[in-house]
Amino acid sequence: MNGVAPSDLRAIVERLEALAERRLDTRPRTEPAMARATQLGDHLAGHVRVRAASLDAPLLVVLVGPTGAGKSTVFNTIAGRAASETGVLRPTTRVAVVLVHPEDRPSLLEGTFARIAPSQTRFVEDAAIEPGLVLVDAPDIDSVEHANRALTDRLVEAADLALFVTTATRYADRVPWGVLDRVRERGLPLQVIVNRMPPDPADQAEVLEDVRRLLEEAGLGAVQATTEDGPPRDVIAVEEGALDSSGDRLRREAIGPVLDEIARLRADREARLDLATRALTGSLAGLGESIDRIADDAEHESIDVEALRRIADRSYETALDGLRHEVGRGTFLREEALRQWQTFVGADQMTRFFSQGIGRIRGAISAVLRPATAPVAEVRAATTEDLIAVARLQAAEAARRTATSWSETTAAGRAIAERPELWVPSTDFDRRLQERLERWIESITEDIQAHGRPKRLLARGAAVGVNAMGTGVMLATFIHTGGITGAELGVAAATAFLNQKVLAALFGEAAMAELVAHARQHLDEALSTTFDEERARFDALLPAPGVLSDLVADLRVAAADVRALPSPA
Amino acid sequence: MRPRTETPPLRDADDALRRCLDAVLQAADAADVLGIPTEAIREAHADATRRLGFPSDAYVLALVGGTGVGKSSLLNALAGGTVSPASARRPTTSEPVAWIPANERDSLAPVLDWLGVGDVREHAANGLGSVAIIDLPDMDSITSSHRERVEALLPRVDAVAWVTDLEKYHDAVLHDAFLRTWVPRLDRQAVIVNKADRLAAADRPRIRQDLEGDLARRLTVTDQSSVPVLMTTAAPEADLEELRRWLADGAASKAVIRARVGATAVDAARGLAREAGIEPDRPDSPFLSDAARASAIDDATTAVLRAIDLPGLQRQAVAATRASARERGTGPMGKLTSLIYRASGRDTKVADPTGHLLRWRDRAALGPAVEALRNGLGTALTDASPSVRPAVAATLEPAPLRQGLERAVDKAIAGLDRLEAPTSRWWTVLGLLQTLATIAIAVSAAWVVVWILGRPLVDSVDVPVIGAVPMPFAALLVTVLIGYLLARSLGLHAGWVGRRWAGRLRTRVSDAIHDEITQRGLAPLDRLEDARVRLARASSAVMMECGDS
Repeated sequence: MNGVAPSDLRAIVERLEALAERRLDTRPRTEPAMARATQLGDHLAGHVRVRAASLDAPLLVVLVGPTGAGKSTVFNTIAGRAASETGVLRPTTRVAVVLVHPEDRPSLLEGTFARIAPSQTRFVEDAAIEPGLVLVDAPDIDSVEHANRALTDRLVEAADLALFVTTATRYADRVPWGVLDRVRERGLPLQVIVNRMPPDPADQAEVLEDVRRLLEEAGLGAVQATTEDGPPRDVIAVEEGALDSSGDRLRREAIGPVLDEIARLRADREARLDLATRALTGSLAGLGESIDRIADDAEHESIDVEALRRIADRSYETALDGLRHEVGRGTFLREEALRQWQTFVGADQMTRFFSQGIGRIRGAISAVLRPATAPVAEVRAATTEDLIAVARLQAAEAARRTATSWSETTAAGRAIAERPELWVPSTDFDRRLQERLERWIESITEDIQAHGRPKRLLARGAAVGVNAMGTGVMLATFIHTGGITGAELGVAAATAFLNQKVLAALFGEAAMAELVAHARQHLDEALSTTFDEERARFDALLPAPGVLSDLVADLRVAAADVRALPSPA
Repeated sequence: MRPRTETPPLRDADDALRRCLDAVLQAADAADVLGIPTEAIREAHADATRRLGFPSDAYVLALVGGTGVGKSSLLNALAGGTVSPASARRPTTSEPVAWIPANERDSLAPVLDWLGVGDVREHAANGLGSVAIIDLPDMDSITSSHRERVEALLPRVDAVAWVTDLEKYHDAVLHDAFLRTWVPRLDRQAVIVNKADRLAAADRPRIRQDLEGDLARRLTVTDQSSVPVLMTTAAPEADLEELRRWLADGAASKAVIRARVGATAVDAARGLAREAGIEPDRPDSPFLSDAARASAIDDATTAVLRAIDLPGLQRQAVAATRASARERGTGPMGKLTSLIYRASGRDTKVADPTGHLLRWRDRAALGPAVEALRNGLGTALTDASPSVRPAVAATLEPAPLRQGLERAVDKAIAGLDRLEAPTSRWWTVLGLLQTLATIAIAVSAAWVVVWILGRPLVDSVDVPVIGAVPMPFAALLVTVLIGYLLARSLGLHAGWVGRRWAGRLRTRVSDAIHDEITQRGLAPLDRLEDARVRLARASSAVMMECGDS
């Protein structure tokens, strides 16, 4: 090898394998994108890695084609015995039948077949053949057994030479041409065998000409060359019923060129090395395109994903703003609770803190005679309950909007359909918010205690009680006069007015403003955190931000690096 | 082509079939409300109506299959000459070819025209029955326009022979893309395995069994009869025995056409019901279970009542009762107080339950109530089938729910009429007594004045401890005491009456609001529930009218 150094090759394979893995981790959203990512991973592990380690590793020749085309018959003909079952029931072959020299088997299991489950393969050992070439009869690519297709795709990725078997009936079928397209992209050396040719020579000629035309149109002419400068391999035609006496093999002369080629490769190490090199060259030449297409997929997906993320972000942002608005104006509070509080802060005992003269004296007297008790528990319970209700309503709106929008997209539609719970707030929403609100009320109390140093406050505070003061501050975060002084604007405004007066008298204007601002900020944090958790349920369906765009960038660099590699030969 | 309305060719085809097709449309209308796409079904309905309108009595059988399985060869073998050119080159047939009995030429012409089949070959009647056989292009080759042509024609043909061969009979394209979709929509159909001559005699039953088993396992829906598997050889030595027998076997063409329309209708109805999440064994189960509905309404009612402040209402009711009592039962002084209160607007502020209710919007924060309702409806959303979920989600939009609740409250309050505070005859009596007492007080006071000024001779009352008290003073004291007692008893009685009334009022308001929410609070969801019921009914009507045709 006078081109790329094996160590360079190994390094880039490692890098590409990591990229393929990263791509699969992002869960490609369409089937073709998934297939391309899987293909790259399979191809790197099954072929490039093996070849980078050694061009001398056993050569992998894979028989591939539609069901009923006679792959197993060709396989048996090459093997010289009934190694793979043939039959009339479709599909006949459901595992990969591998004809291998015992010596080759260990390296095969470590390399090419490392990713293929043992249950999907059946090894046929033959000590009589030369080591160095492994023949695989792959299952079909187009029957209702979809697992067959997956296995064959994996084998195509690993192959050094594809023997594509089709029939005069099948050759224009759409599905196999999809596989051939990948053969082209991968630069995999290819030999086409058309089985079951009609007996009429004119018909035969017509079919062969048509097959050649189709191959040419599909860009498969170059791939078929035996050697780099050799002529293209011709399509091999096999007549209908060209079986030998055993019934499970073709007459040897029917596929003479194939047998000769296999024999040549078995006998000649140089020929094997040459083919392996060609396969690797083709593979490296195709990698750039494959990686670019995966990068394109990821790029498109990243646009979709960002759009989805924006939908979720915007829905939750709007909902949280709506909630902030409602919280800021206290419109969710029930009047019953407000009036209870108004009765308390409006009592003489409380108003004396800011009244003058007679009011003050009256307050002092009534504080002794008819002490008012703050309705702390009732007001807190009512406030928490109503706040949770409006928060849940907004969270439900966000979930509903996000789910509805996502369900209309192809990128997330199925995921949403499978998860009905995403259409509503999470089941533990109430519990989480309740805990946060309790913690929030505690933090207000702690804040008051931290500010409760001035003597005047201590004395007055003792008369009022820290819990009542806390409740006052809590209510002040929801209802505030905002400059209105008249107490005739309904219960909310009246309560706000009195509440603020009392608080200002207790703490002083500045300290009160600070306490309320703190409380408001902490409440906002509690609500935002809860909404973030709600939105995270949707985010969990998407790759993290930047993951895809980073991947795209890395893939593009890798594609350029692969293109810059010198040819292995 | 004769106008359809004049002489319906299938006039005996029946009201049942027409009812069935009508039911398909009804099902589609209901499905529209649920947000389920219905274009395909409406198209199928239009095709069916169109098909039944043609005068022809012959039915159309399409040969559908992959390239190279021998569709054209089969038709040629059947005809005993070249009808559709067969060739080794794949794919061969790109334009459909129709092979029809000569005597049906005129009647079939409009049908073939509708199908878009221009290439028509005639043959003398030969015992195959009144059937036009159409050789279609393939559906699996690289020429994708062929498959599109097949897919466009399939909805319009009356019967299908799925032609395949020994290589292709298990192809994913045939099974996944065609048989799975179309077998339930067809009635007369068969799977033909061509090139059977390449099989050893012993292998024939194996293939047949394999395919029949697969068809039964994958495709046959509940009551549909199984699809027969026919073995044929088109060339070189034609063996069409099984196909001929099938063609000749009991195929009254009218019945074939009707059965096809019926199968399509049943499949359409079944598809819509499935999309809507209607389970065949429980067609009546609503999106929102009765229990969940009841609890959603209860929760919303509780939250609404909390928002409109019932304790406040009670206080107002008691105050109103007291005001009414004051007016009737307090004599002249009370009347004066009432006048002042009314003039100052105090009555309408604290003693006007009707006004209190009418002003509910000023106070009530319906947010929690809307959420109670929405939360109660949540199970309908998570339980709904994915196709219906967006429609159900739309019914949970807060704005309409809020409007619904507001309307419910308005309606409930309006239904209460004017809330007149109760009165009592006792109050009139007490008022009379109070007036007398007031007069007596006045007289006593006058007497006291006269006594002080003139000192006329009066009796004195011997009060213990104090001693003798002159009569005018005693009279004043007693009358004032009586007046106080009368006022006190009026207050107690009015309070008692007022509280009782407030209690009744509270119950009345609660009930009215509960009723209104029940009736209109869930209106958006009820529209869907109604559509679901209509869809379930229509689809079971389709099954009934078309099911056994």
